Amino acid sequence: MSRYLLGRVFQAVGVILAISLITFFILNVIPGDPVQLMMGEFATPEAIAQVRAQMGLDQPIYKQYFGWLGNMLRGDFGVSYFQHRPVLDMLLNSFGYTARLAVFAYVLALVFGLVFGILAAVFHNKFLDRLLMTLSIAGVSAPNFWVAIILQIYFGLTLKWFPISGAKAFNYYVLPAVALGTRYAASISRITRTSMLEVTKQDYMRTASAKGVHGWMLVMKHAFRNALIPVVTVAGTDLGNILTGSMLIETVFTIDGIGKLMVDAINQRDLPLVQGGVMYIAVICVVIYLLVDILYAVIDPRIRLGGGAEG
Amino acid sequence: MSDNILQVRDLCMSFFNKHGELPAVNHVSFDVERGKTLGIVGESGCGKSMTSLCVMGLYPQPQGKIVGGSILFQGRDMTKLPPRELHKIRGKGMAMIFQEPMTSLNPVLTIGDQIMETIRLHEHVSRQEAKRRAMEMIAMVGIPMPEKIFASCPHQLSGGMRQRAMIAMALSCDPELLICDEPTTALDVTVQSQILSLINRLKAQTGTSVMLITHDMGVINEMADTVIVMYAGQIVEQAATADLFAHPTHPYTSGLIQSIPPLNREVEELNVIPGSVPMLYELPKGCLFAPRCPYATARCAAERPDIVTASEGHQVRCFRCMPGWEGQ
Repeated sequence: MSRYLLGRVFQAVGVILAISLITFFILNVIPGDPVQLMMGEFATPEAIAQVRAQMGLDQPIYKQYFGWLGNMLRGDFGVSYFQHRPVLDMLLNSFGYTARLAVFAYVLALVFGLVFGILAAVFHNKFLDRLLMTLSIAGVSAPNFWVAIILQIYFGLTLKWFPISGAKAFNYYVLPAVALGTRYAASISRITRTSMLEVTKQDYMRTASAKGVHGWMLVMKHAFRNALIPVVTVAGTDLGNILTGSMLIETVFTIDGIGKLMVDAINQRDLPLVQGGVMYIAVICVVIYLLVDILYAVIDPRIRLGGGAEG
Repeated sequence: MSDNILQVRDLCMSFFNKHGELPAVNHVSFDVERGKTLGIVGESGCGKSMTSLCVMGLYPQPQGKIVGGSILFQGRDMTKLPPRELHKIRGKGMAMIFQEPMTSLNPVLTIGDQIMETIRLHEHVSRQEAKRRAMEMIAMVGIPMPEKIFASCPHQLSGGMRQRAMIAMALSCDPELLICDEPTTALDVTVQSQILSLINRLKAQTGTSVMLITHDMGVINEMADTVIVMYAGQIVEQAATADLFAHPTHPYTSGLIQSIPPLNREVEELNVIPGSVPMLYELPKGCLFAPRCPYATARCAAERPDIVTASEGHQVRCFRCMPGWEGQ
């Protein structure tokens, strides 16, 4: 177990370093000079060169990279070119909004996804299964900004149950969380159902029935735990997606989350902010995949304990 | 009443699909005597596993349905019991071990958990007591280091060990009837004989009756007191084991016995029965075995024979055993 874990942690660190390298170089070769953009059209070449030197942009690119990496390890992500605030502060500030939205949306997605998926599998080919799977197709296919607008119109404007923009209190998050969570709930319910049905066909399920195991114990103890691996994979990816911010939902509901911050940064060529944002997304994804790998091992002893006497 | 633990009478189980009704188990009747072993033998697809799954009530539903007959276990008809009662009988009254020890154990639970689960399900005992009994069972089936195996997961064990664990699990609540569905087919030959002698030893020790399903006439010879030979969902011959091997009467039984490779002499070619078991949706009109039978006549192709008594305790489904057969 500890060897498995250690290997995964090393991999994770490697991936983060690789991403930092790629991000830095790609952002430095794409067209669009941030200094030019920042100084406006009428800046003299001398002034531009001076600012460039001030920002360290005249250094060789590998020096810039190591400088940036070193600073980042010390918690200094640089200063936004345009807002002149530390990138880390801006990221943390936006992260607060995104995280709150993400937690609500994810809890909704997990609860409804798992419950609906299990119910659909248990009532396979019955009315409930068809109903839930029809809903899930709708959920997967409906673009979330469209769901968001429908929710705003109906629950916000018509019924006036929830506010439709901003993020001042808990009730502000209800509609965005539903709009964001719907698709993930739908995809989790589909994979749960498929995986459960696959497991139900296995020999060990028949063995369990032959022992007299029945009802929900058969479903939860014998089927669900075996069905979890693909579900954890999908649910983990989903958590990564949700935590890295939804540009559309945050825009529609005017929430200053990571998604909105990144879009603005890219449009302005605010390199430190974009680099910091990409590193944030990379770290979140890598950490979540690490957690998913650890969860695999918790669920399935074949992963935790390695091969054994197979065959 | 006789000392039969299980009485199956005229059991019919059919699948229903686009081909219509497919009789997988066709008017099957047999008894399992207390403390004895009944062997069921036949090729793949002859209905022997389906018969045993019917007895357990575990045949595939809703595609499959018992359309007639009765399964009396300890005097109660399994086909009419409500699910609640069936759950109580499975694992306690009758238990089953399966062909594939590799896939028949739950991969995410330890061996100990799986054995204790059976005990805790049927008998209201504490965790400690269940654990103690599980350990006892593991030791009883000849697994070395019970503590280690108790905490192991199925993938850490060899096929033979897994099958032993399956047997420990099946016998953990002292079932009256143990159904073994091809218990050794997936195992090495040496392990196979170990498992068979283990089943025999435990049978003698616990007094449980055994229903042994196999395609291997050798295994039948070694294990069974009485044998039924099945073909395409029907019983074609039924007799005491010694009688069956001494006087195989149905051409299919003779074919099965002749296709055992002899050990004491070299053979150029093994005897085989030509053809294969017919699919359920294209059963012949007459005797089901007629297309593969060396003795088939016009009558065999036209009518289905009933099962008749050829001699004391020996029943055969073949026109050749009926009065009026002229040896055409």
